[in-house]
Amino acid sequence: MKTLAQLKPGERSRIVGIDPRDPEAMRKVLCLGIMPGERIELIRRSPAVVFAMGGSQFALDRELASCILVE
Amino acid sequence: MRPRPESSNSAALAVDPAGIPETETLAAEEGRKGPVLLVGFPNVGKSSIFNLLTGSYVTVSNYPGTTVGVSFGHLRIPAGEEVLRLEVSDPPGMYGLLPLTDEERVAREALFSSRPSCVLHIVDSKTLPRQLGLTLRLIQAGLPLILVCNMTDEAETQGYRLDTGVLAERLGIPVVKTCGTNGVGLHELKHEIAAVVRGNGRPAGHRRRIPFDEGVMGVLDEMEARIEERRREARTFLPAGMDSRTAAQLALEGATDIAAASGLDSETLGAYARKARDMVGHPFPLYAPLSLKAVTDKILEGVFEDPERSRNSVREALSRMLINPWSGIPILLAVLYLCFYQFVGVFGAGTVVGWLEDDLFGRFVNPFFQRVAEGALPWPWLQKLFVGDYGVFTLGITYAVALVMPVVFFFFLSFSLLEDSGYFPRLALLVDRFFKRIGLNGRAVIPMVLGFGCDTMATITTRTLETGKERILATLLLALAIPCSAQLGIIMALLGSRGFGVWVGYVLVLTGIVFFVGWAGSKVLPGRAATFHMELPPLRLPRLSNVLVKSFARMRWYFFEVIPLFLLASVVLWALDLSGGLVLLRHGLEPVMMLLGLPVEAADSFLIGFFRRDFGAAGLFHLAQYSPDKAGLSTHQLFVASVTLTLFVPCIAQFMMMFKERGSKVAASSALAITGIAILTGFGLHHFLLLTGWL
Repeated sequence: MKTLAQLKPGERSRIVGIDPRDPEAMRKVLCLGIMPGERIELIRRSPAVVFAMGGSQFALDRELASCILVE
Repeated sequence: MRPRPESSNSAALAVDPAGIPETETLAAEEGRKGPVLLVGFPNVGKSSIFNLLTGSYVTVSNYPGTTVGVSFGHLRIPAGEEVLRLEVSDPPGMYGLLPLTDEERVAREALFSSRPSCVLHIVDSKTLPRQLGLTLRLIQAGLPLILVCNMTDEAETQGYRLDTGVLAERLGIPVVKTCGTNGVGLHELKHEIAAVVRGNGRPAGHRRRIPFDEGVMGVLDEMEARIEERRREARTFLPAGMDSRTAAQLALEGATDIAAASGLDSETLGAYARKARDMVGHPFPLYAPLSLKAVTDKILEGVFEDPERSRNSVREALSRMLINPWSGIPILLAVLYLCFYQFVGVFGAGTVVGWLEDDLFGRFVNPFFQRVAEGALPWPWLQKLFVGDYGVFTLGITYAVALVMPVVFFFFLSFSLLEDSGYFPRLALLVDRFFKRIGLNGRAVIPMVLGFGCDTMATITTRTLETGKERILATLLLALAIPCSAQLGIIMALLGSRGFGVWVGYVLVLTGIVFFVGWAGSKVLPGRAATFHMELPPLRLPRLSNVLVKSFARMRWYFFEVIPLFLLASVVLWALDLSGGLVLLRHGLEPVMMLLGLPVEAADSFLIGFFRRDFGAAGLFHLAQYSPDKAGLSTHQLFVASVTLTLFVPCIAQFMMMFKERGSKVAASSALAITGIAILTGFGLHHFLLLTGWL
């Protein structure tokens, strides 16, 4: 399955799941309101993963971005 | 906007799409005598609402996590004949009831321990869907809540639509639109606060359960009942203001502290977690926010509309340039050069200090005090207290006002300007990878940059870091290798006069030390840096008034911190000088000065430097120009002295703050490590320069 960290800059997608294997990372991502169902657009992959979601922009490191599963 | 009267409200809810079942109505007289509490996500404008309500000033910026600790203020609402006087409290922002950092824990504690008479949940109107989940949790917790939709100006110009009337009806709580920067909605907000606080025939809160799947509701009901039972037996340590339902849900969501306080043993808890998981197919910590989202989406149907995304292209292009390393790093260097080197260093520490120190104090102020002191005080030893080498006026006040104040002020001005523009979150992501190598993550950029202003202030903000390891490392690096603005400004002026190369050498040596000590420290200390997350606020044109007010507020804090210590330093040094203690201390430091190849007089700077770092640098400034043989320090000596003095023990205020924030063990061992590293580096540098003959 594809993760947010694997999208290309400019690519649009939808979040379909959060990997529950790392509970700490999952909690952090969910706290920020990053949830399945949200439409996103990737802006940059490096030095951090930057994406737009519903009028907000977020930066996550690769580790966190890898627990976000996308279409 | 007010919800409809209670009776029809409940009826409305019964058929409401959201369908939050009302379970219990709380009486107004439940002992809620606490403050009006402001809660919400970071960077939604809580502090600006606080300022509007109380008329006092706490720092407002375009950076999540500006509020560290809890600010208090007072609010007066004229209500008919009498005036309602309320305390208002502004804890740091929080993303939810499961805290990520210590300050979020502070915020949660305020919610459940201070028995607030009214809770304002402040949200950014543009991202309401993401924040409404917290509102529902607060409603479930039975808190006397008002939803404050802030930043309406930005939202409206960008085409967002929000029907607060319908929203208030569906939630069953008052909803007010505000704009923290211009005061729109303030009057209505005050009116609603008064109504909530006084009850006004209305209950102070309605506890409603968040509607999860039936099976999960059953599990939560069971847990709630058990916790309730434990509570009756006084076997829990839960905060008195936290209801058992909230405790049950948080425990199931993985809040280990709440789970431990709830009195349920881990076996029982594990069984409940498995049961809930089997019912819905996901772990509860994932299921809960997802279901909440489904509920809030329904509530917002037809109430909230976001615009067709039309991004401001110039702003967006600039934002992208800042986060692209190829353009971002040159921009960073340009910012450092313009703001800090040219503006703070050359203009502040050079030109303005020149006016103040040489012209104002050198020609007018000090000669005046000298005449007064000599005329009024018959004893030379007492005259010395005021106008001698270490006199309160000639040393203390002169350094504080003429040398340090302009530098610090220009630093805070630059810092506030950058902060309000939204630059720092972008810088944080840019440096994240580098910071991870020194055991921190990009979020540490704020304490580190702020350290260049005042390390004491920066030590307080290390609280915003997530893990203990990061907090210790950041505290150590601040104390060791980050010169504060006053010190840096003076060192810059000193070294700058000896050529740009010397200044670059200084920066390189310190950067090397930060890297090495951070890297080594991250290997030695257990644990690891937290993962990096940051919401990027939109880039905004800073408002001059806010930048000025904020700089002055920081200045004021600094001044109350600095002036007493400056004066104290003068008095202590005067006493030491008079009693001969200074000679002894100087004597004691002599071998160290020899090791570093410095004249004995330089010991003064190191001694004074403990009272204020900048003070020590200022002493060096003095020495460089007016040493006894009139020759001043050689460039070689000056370089070694500047580096060693920067690394050497932090000032007394910072040291006290290290004790307070990190505890005596960490503070004392840091001091030891710092002394060792400083002397070793100075010694190494001295011999390296002798060998290579560079300076």
